[in-house]
Amino acid sequence: MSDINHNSVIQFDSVAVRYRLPQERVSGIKEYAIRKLQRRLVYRDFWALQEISFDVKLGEVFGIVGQNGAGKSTLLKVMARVLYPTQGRVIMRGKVAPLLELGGGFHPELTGRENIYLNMALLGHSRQTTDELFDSIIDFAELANFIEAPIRTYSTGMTARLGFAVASGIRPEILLVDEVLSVGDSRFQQKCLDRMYEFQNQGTTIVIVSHSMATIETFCSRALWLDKGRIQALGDVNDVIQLYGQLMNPPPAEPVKTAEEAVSIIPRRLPAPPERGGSFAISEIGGIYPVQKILDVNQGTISFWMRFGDEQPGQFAAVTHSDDSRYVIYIAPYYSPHLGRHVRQIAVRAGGNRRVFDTFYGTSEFPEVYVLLDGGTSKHGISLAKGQWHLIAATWDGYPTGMVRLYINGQLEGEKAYDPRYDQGNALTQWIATGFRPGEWSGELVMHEDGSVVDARPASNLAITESGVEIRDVRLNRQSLSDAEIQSLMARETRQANEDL
Amino acid sequence: MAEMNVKPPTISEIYDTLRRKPAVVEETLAVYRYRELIRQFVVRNLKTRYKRSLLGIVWTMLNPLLTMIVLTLVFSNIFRFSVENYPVYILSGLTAWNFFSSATNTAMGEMVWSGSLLSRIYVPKSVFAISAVGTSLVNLLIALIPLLIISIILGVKITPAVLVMPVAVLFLVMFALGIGLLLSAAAVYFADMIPVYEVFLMLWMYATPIIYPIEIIPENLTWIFKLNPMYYLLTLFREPLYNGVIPDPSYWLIGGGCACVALTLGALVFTARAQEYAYRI
Repeated sequence: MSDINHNSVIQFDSVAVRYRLPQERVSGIKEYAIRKLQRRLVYRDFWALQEISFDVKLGEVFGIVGQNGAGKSTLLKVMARVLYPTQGRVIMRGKVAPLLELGGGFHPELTGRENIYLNMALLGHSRQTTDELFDSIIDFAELANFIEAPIRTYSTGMTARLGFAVASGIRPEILLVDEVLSVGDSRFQQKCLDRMYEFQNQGTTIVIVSHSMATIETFCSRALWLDKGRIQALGDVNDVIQLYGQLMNPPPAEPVKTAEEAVSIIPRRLPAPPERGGSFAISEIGGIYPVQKILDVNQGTISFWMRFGDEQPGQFAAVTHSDDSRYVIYIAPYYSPHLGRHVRQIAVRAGGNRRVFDTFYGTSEFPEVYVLLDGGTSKHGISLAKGQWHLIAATWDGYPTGMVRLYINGQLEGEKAYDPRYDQGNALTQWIATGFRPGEWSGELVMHEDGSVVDARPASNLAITESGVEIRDVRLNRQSLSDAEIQSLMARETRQANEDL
Repeated sequence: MAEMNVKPPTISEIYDTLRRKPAVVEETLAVYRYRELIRQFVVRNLKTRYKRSLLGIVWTMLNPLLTMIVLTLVFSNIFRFSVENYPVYILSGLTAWNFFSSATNTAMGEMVWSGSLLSRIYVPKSVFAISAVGTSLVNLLIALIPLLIISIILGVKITPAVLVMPVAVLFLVMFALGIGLLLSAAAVYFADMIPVYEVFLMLWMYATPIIYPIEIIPENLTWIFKLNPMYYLLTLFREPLYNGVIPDPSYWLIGGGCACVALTLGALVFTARAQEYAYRI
């Protein structure tokens, strides 16, 4: 076994967790004694975790990803000292606070106040500490008016808020988060995230468990993929997520190796970009149009017709993206804990690298407008029925102070302003690539204005999505269209579509 | 290569499964840290018991009183000739016995039903037994009030000997805690522990001179009854109040010895297996 590595806050060394289940149910002492004498006691071993070795450094945000039943919660429980490892060595350096299953320690008959004291005691805090933190806890949970009522009268959202407020009352040195980012409304979720950001800035190490790739990818810098109790991948979050993602989708047939090879895959039918203004269509779906000044970050519109069905969604698919991913329009799979299944979202992003967790200070909402495709209606009540064609349009204007807007069937779904705090000090690129990548593409092209390929980058999540999403009639406009113009676009295209059919 | 020797920030606690103190020491330290939780459990037990009942705390006092009245009426004609102030005799015995039986039963019950808690959050496993003993202790102290009142009413002479009763209570607490820990450990593994213990407890109660004085046992059989640790512990509790005398040193020695042995055994066995409980419950 290796020695303690002083930079590591969490260290697991060949850890295994085994449940010993009797083959036949032994119901009592008498049976136990009889069977033991007869040597008929047979156990079945269930190894929930095996050969788990990894470490987490101080201040990291570490992700654990995997399907249901892979052992993620078991791993967290070992960290939280709920389970003692059957084999191996566990080192946790620092005070550990679990956010496992919020509200689990609540007693329904007691009031909110009494439950706060109870839960603080469950976490090992003294009464004096609870007295000091009491007001800030109910403030954070926004339950000042309800604190004297019994918990059984609370809604699930209220319980969750209280649970989070209590569990995060004192900044821990190690924070364990188990899928709790899904509770509460989005405003409260943001509050939770802000508090976690604060902790991270003060040196807390955070471990997040999720089966949602998006969550892990957004927040974590390193990750671990767990399957059937064993580590399948460990390392940089992008690498791990890619491997995990391949589990849900077959990998591309032939990864592209050189820039020349990459260029050869690209369909040569590039539209002639208009001199100024105007709109034009992309005729080839399944091609990627290299970065050119067809569209620029200052303004533009893209519209396309989309139809989706029931199938399991695929990987991320970019419709447009600027070279630095500041402006992105994409369709992505997303696990919805509320619905308990995978759905897709179509999102328009107004800036910002995904690695928000590292750069985010203060409170604000992530600059994306998104709609869940499988949820029925969008947030603003715009109906998104399966099996029907919908016109999706996205506009952006006026970087760096401007807005991106998402229109569905001519109606404005939402808008967000570009947030320069996500810049990370990087220079803004002027180029936007557009189109859907073909299935065999596994990289990203960087090209100059003149069309010469500079670089072919591997390891991108952008790939064409075939599963149940159809796209047609992609149309680009070098200007950012207004509401009225979008609506007339809708009217015009619908009329034309009806004529075609 | 010259490097800045950066000290890692001081960390408040380290959990290392390879470098651990003896289980009993760890558990004791953890119990101290979680003392507020134990206090909360005791308060919760008392509250949930009394919050919705009309009679409230008065019921704790009434219950043994009613038992005493019934038993007195039933047995007074059999034993009256040999036992003075029979009601006080019974009541003091019952009070101590109720403490022991409720402490051990609750300790086991809380442990068995703690599964939902233990599967989610770490608490030192012995808090259930400790809080059960604590709750029963509070009930015992409350029950002393009617005991004293009845004693005075029935004309029992209260002597300074009652000042040794706290020691007797201490021994009872130690014994109950030890047995409670042993039972909790067993109950995790055997589902039928609770009903089995209830039967065993009933037999144990009849084997202890609570309702009857030990004098009625034939001489050649007395030694069997004197193997019962509760006989000594009960006598230590009852004698100072009922007879107004301090029991023989031999009783203190044996009683104290049993209490220490039970507590030590219980603590060692329980903490040795503590890390497995979360797997089982």
